[in-house]
Amino acid sequence: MVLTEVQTPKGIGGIPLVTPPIAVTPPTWLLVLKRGYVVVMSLLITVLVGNWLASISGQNNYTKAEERNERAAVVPMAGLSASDLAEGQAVLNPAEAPVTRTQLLYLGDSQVFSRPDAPPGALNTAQWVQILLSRQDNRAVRVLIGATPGMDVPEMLLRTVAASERQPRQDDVIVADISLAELRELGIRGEINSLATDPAVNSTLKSLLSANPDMGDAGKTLDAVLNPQGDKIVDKSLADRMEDTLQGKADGWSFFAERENLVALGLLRYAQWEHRLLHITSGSRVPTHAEPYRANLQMLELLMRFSQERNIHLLLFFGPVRDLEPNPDAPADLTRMHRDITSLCERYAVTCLDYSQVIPEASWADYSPNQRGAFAMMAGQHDFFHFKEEGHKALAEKLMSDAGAQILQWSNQAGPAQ
Amino acid sequence: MTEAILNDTIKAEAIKAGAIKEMTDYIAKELVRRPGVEVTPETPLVSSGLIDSFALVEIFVKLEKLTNRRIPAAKIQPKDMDSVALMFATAERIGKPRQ
Amino acid sequence: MVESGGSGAVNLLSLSYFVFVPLVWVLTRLIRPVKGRQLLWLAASYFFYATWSLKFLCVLLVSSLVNYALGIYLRRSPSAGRLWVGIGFNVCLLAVFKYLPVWSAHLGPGHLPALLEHVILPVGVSFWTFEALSYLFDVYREEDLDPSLTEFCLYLAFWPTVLSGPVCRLPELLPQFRNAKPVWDDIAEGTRRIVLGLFMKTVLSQILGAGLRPGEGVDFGFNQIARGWTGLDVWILAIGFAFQMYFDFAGYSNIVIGTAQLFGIRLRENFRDPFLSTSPAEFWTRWHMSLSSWIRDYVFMPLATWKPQVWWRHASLVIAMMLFGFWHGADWTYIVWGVLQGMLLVGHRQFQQLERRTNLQLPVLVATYAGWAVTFSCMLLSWVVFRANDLSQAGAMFHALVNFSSYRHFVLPRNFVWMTIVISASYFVVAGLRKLAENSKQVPILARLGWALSPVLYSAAMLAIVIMSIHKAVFVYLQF
Repeated sequence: MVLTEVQTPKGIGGIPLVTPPIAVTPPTWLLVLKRGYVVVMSLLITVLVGNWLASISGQNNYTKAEERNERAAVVPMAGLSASDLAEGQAVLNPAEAPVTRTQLLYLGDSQVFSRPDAPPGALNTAQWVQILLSRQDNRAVRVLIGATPGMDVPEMLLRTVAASERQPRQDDVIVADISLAELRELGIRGEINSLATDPAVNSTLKSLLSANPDMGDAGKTLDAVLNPQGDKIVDKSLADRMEDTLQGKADGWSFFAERENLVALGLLRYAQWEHRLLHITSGSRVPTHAEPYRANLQMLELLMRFSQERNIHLLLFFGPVRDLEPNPDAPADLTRMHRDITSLCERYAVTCLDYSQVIPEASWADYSPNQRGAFAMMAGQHDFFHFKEEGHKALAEKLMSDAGAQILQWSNQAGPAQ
Repeated sequence: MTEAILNDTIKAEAIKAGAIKEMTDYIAKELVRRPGVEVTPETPLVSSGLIDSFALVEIFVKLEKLTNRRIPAAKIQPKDMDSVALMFATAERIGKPRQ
Repeated sequence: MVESGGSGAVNLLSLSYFVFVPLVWVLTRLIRPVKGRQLLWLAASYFFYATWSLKFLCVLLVSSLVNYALGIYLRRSPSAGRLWVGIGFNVCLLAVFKYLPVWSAHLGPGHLPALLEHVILPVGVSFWTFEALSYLFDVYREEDLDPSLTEFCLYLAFWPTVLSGPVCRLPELLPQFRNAKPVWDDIAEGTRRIVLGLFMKTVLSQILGAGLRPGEGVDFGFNQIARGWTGLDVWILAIGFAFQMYFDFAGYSNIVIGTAQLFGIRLRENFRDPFLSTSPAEFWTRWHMSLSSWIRDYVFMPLATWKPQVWWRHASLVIAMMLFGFWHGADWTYIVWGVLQGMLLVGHRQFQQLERRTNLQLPVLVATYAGWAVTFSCMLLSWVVFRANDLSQAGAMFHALVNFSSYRHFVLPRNFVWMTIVISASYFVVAGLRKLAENSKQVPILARLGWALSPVLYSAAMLAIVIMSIHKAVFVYLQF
């Protein structure tokens, strides 16, 4: 313990006005305690709360469970033969699919494969299309699902170009389910964005844009994808390996390993609160702004030009729309979309079908009252995007009835894949 | 002779004191213009934020006039001009009398 | 221009950095002799920089050796001619690495030697070149500076500042390189600043820049919407970008200043609540302070005092700010932004003259808030030009601003709009709370309560940092 003198005000003659207090430096243990308190408590709270957050991150796994359900093994059902089951199963396992057939890339959003009411193993539209095509000629066409939830047109274009650059290519034929939701946004998610890092895909996209200078809006959207800011990928260096090792060790702490789930969970909670506060329901009108719509149309036109250039057979259909009000899709927006895309299809001689009224009301799904996962905030409400299992079969049958022969004819023209 | 030098020195000091006062008044009235703030020859001006770089340039021009010296601007920094006293010391140190 | 590399680098957001710093700290404590410590720091700095690229390190080494030699040359006879030799060397270095490749891209292939078209910008070259220039100026001004070669190389390569500043001055760092000894308060404050900086960068700047989902964020709004912004979109993007830049660069500055403080070294501050400024002149004493003071000391002052006329002073202001813009890059958007900043400063000056002539005395509160509103708005609009991909985009966005019929809806995602408003409003709320906290230090019980509750804030920040670290964040100012 050390005593130190403190300055005090001095009066006349330098005599202290008050008795000077003696300052005391605290003992070492107290100093350590004071100094260590913030550090230790901060780390302690971080670890405890981090562990707790990691334990609840599993709540996000409902989304993963939904995705697993959608890709679960096909369950035998009445009317399906063993070869039907095998064909339906093969759609979910593209890596195992034989490449001797014409490759049909099926694009669209979650309407293609989501069957909220059905148990795992039920068939989606793409699987039914495969089964129905194979019943007519089981050596002709292989269907590949290129659809992703919330897909928009830039993502369709990236998928198409990437599929075209594979050896052999995976898009001899493209069937695309077009909905208004796909024309509202321009975001490109990471997993599809990363397709553009492939040098062949990147180069093809750049050539496509430079050969079509009138597609300025589409070019702007893809610019960030083709010319990303920030670090370029370089060979793994010592610093890379060091960082990978440290990240691996950090993943040993469950909170660190669950970061991605926690972000998803956070976004989900945010969406739930937003819906509650702003009284947003599944039927709330979603605006279709002119700019993203125009850029998406250009992107679609670019897709058509690319398909022509690469002799890809393209078939579009307007996806089913639930005929209920209030509805997220405004009638005027739907009319505009039909008009604009039909006009594009006529210009490029692309088959365009209208299946907006194909699904009857009874076949549309509603969100379960106990809905969890990504759509938890819509529990008990009408689902305006997804229909029941019977709807998928009906849609596939309609498509086969209108275009099955044409698809098989394209397959015969193309011959088996090289 | 010594008396002459002494008289010259006293006269120079008086002129300098007058110049310092003129500069201090100029800064207080024209540049700082804050009623409660007293500006003395030792008041820090730049470091305290009382004046900005534009005002510093105006002070520089005035300093050259008052000291009748050419001061190479590239040779000075704001810290050399932080107070009126420092300014005049800087002018004496690196300024060259005007022809 | 090929982007400066670095995915294999030890960057300030990587776990490697937080192993590297404590390691160097422990070694520093073990080495007593000053020279030994300086050599350790120099080796650590070169190692750190080499993880970005060995080629960059070669450029830095060459610049260090040449500038040191130029300093000796200048010290023997501090003439303007010798100073210009030094200025010429450093400007050429910047031109070759920073400006010529951009101009060659604009001119098209074949106009410049092929070698120049593939030049990569060494990360931080703008910053340490300016530090070298300030050293030469200080030698010319006959400052009492006599660094050893090790000390000078350390000054340019010092790992906290080598990437993106702050632009330091040797007279401030040299005594610290020789005498720095951290005390507990340095370590506590340094750690606090690092945590704060990480939070600002990995959480706040990231949310604003990239959004939480695809199709959100300032980058999306500028890069992927070709046209058709509404007036409200442009204001949101302007606010979003202003705060993105602030949190990114001030966050980086906090990490860097905090790191240096762990070693007992005090670096120049770079930011001081810039969005509370009540005039453009005040803004530039609060934003990127290290560089704005550099421009003031080494460009504006010599230029403005060259002629006594008032019009020349105004022109010097515009020229100096134009050079400030040009420092960021050779694109027209940066240059126009610089000119705009210069004109704002001149406009503010004219307003002050008008106040003087008319003896205009607005009530203090009115003057303060009106000044803040005008300054904040003007700065936001100038950031639109700075961030726009080209002048035509900036023009289209300004057109949207004055098209009042467009103010009825947003094109930007609603989430992003809300996020931007909440984050920017929080800045002002936190500034107010900080002021209260400062006042509460006068009340011991409140100060103790604040201290007791501080671990909650720190742990919330650290949790958010870890969660958001899944996104690969890049410092915006690394590109300059």
